[in-house]
Amino acid sequence: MSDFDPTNLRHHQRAWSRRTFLGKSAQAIGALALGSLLDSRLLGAAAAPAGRWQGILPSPHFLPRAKRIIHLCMAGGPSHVDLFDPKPELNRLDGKPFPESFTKGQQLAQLQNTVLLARGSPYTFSRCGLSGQIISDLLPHTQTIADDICIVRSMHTEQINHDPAHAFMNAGSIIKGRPSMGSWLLYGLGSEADNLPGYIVLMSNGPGADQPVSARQWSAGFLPSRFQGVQFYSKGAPVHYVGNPDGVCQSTQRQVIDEIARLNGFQEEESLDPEIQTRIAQYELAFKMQASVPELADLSSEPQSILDLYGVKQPGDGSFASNCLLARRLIERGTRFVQLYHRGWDHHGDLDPRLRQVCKLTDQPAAALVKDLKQRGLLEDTLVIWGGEFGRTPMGQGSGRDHHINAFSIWMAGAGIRGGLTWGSTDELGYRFLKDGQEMHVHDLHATMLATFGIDHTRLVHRYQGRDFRLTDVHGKVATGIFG
Amino acid sequence: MENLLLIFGRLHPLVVHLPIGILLLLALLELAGRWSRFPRLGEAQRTAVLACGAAAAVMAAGLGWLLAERGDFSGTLLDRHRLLGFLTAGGAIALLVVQGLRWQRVYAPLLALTVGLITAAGHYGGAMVHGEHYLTELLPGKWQRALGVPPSAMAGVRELPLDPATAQVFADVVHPILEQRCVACHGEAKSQGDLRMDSWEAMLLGGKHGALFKPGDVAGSRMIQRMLLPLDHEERMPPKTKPQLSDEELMLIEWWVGSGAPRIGTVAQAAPPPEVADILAERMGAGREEAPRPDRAAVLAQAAALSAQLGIEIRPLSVDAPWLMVSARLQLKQFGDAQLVTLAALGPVIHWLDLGETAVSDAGLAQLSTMSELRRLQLDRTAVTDAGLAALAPLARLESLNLFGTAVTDGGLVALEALPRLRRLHVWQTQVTPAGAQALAKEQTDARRIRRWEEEIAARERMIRAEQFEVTMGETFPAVKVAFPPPGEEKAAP
Repeated sequence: MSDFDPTNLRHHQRAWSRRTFLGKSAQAIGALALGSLLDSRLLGAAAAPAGRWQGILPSPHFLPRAKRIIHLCMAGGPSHVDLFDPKPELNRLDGKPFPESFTKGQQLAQLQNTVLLARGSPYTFSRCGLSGQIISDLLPHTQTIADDICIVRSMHTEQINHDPAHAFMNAGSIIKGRPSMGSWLLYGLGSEADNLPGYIVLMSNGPGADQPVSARQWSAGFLPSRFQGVQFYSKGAPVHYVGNPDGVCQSTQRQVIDEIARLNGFQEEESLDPEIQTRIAQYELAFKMQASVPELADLSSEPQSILDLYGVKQPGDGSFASNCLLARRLIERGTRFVQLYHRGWDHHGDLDPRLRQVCKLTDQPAAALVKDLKQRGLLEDTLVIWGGEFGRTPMGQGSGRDHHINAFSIWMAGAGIRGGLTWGSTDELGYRFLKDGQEMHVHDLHATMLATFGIDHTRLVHRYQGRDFRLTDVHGKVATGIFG
Repeated sequence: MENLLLIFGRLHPLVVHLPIGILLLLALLELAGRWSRFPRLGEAQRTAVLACGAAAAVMAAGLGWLLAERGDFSGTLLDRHRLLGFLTAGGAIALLVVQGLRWQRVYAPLLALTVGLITAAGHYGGAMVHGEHYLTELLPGKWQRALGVPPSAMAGVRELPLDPATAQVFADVVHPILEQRCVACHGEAKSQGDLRMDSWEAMLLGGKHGALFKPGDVAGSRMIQRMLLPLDHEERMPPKTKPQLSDEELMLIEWWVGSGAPRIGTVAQAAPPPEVADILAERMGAGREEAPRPDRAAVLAQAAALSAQLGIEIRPLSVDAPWLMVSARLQLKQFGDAQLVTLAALGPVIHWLDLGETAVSDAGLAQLSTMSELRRLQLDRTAVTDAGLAALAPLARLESLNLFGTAVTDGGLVALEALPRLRRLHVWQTQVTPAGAQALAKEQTDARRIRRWEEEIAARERMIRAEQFEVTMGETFPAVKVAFPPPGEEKAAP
């Protein structure tokens, strides 16, 4: 590895040991000793190819199953009792008062001070695949991958409003400044790609996509900002102004970048600010992206059969379908974490038409993604997670349902997760998860997600302001049973 | 007052070096003086040096006494060290007296004796600090056996191949770890904090702070709490200066406590979760029948060099094993057969190999024959054809093979039938027909399962025959009849 490698995470620590102590103090012997204390793992770590980001972990803690992850974030809160968790008892109670024994003293979002009435699900469900997993007929395409996905019915969270709930789902905390799970992964394992960001966010457009999602959801928090998610435009060119202006060729551009890196390097040696390293790394990455992004976004190499599989009408139109296809192309090119947000699941009213609409927009692409990954052999080491930030109440709210945190459903596929498995369960009205040993708090989901990457969630820590932080804080239990 | 004495007591390890230095120097000077070219020690000098030595020895013994009384030490090592220390101090004073009386004849033997005493005392003192087998643990095994070092104190011999069905969780898995990392300070010879960890009962009894573990309660177990403290915390165990538990060892101990800290019970009965089972498999020697495992540090150094040379991704897969994952995919067509030849130097330690979308061809696949540990192989969208697949035959551990987008046909799949562990095959966009894939799947599942059942049935048949073993004696022997109770006895008894 070259002596000056701006993308190396540990460069900062090394800079401390060498320059600061040798150059700026007379206690050379002390400095040498300190240098070796700062990070002894440095010596044993296998060097990554130059230019590629290296994570803080020299190796996984145990055998990894996953190398990449795609998170299909169904923003707004999909209704679990209408999609994955049928409740005959709830249907029987439809329109009648919701039993007070369930709801007394419980937190409510918009249903406070109202009469709580049970709302049954108007939809039919089918047993699908060899496994006989139960999936709503609103999701006919998801039904075809029933044997590849593990449905988790016992999800629960702590936050009842969208923004904090997204923050909790991403960072395991609602406190600002905490890194998102994608940032933690990059911090731990580094990025495989050297010409694309390791953590990419895409937000689909389309009818019903009304609620904003804050960019803090993919923030790196207190981790160096090079680990934060990079949002690509899902419509038109993913990155604007990626081409050179007229009269500037790539070699000129290369010289400019090199010179800027050299100048920034001086400043970095002086101030030892890791953010300058980030800046240098970003210039270098942006230069490489001038070539890689147009190639990535060029869907003309995809055959019509693949476009039809995903249901892409117009490549690059910003639809969820187009984004799912882009997600596959991204992980093929070594991006470690791809997060697709699809908004429009927040059905406080008009549940029926709006739920049908959003299912129609997302069902086929999500199922196609799993199928496409599978036929390429990528599902073996790619984890796919589908789910919202919370669920929806089994109680009605006008013609819709309110936010619900005590139970909701997600599905996971790939990376050695047992397909066809239904994990966890809820009470007879779908109100609360059951403590049957298969309950899955958001922290447990994070712990399990890290475990698929061979990371012990208790040992991926970052010391900040005098305390060791981790994604799961002091919680988290790996759901070992979902692995095949 | 208690603490004040202890503060002085803790100066013992410092002060103790003074009498050692002074008395050894004196002995050296006396020896040198016997040789004519060196000046003999004058009486006044001898008295002065002896006075210093005796004073230092008395001080060291006194401080040592304070430390032993108030400190955390106990055990046979301490007893020996204390006795020898006091004898040394006595010897030094006696030497001073002898010198004062000018008893030339007693002086030399007494000096030799004192030097011997201080050497022995120093040895036991060192053993208390560094552990009983500090000096011997790195010696060659032949010497260790000659010196009678117990096997648990020999570095690197604890990973004995064991069978999960018979290996005891505590005795064969957990206790060897503790013996290596803890017992040096918390054992029979030396019991810091009144704590012994050389048996299950002693651990439950605990030390001055109480029991070491609560069965089933990982977070509430004192031993694990101490092991998880930051390295620079003063209560951290093992302390910063001592050899540390590896992450795997810690995980095994946590698992053991979490599953109720059983004293008796085999590994198989305890049903370890997958990540623990992986570690156990590594430790118990599964899959290491053939060659000894390559040295991890050397492998990683070589991997770093190759990674830089070829521009490909090479990462370790495990914290303490040399296994690697290799991905050449991002090099695309710049990675070909020639580069694969270079990579083959790492062959025996590669577990995952991603050659997808590279320029590797049939000719290059011959290099894979060195990769006996390969688990996962991606050859998608390469120029590989049926002819190349024959080269995969030696990959006895291959579990997953990706041939998507290649020109392979049904004919090539025949070569895969012999791969004993193959579980997943990706042949999308190839010439493989559903019938061909079906035939391979059948061969890979039914045939193998039936073979295993047949072996099992044969084994059970042998067992059944053993249970039905019977002896017939024929008619040539009279039938022996024993009446019970013997007739007549009932009446005889009053």
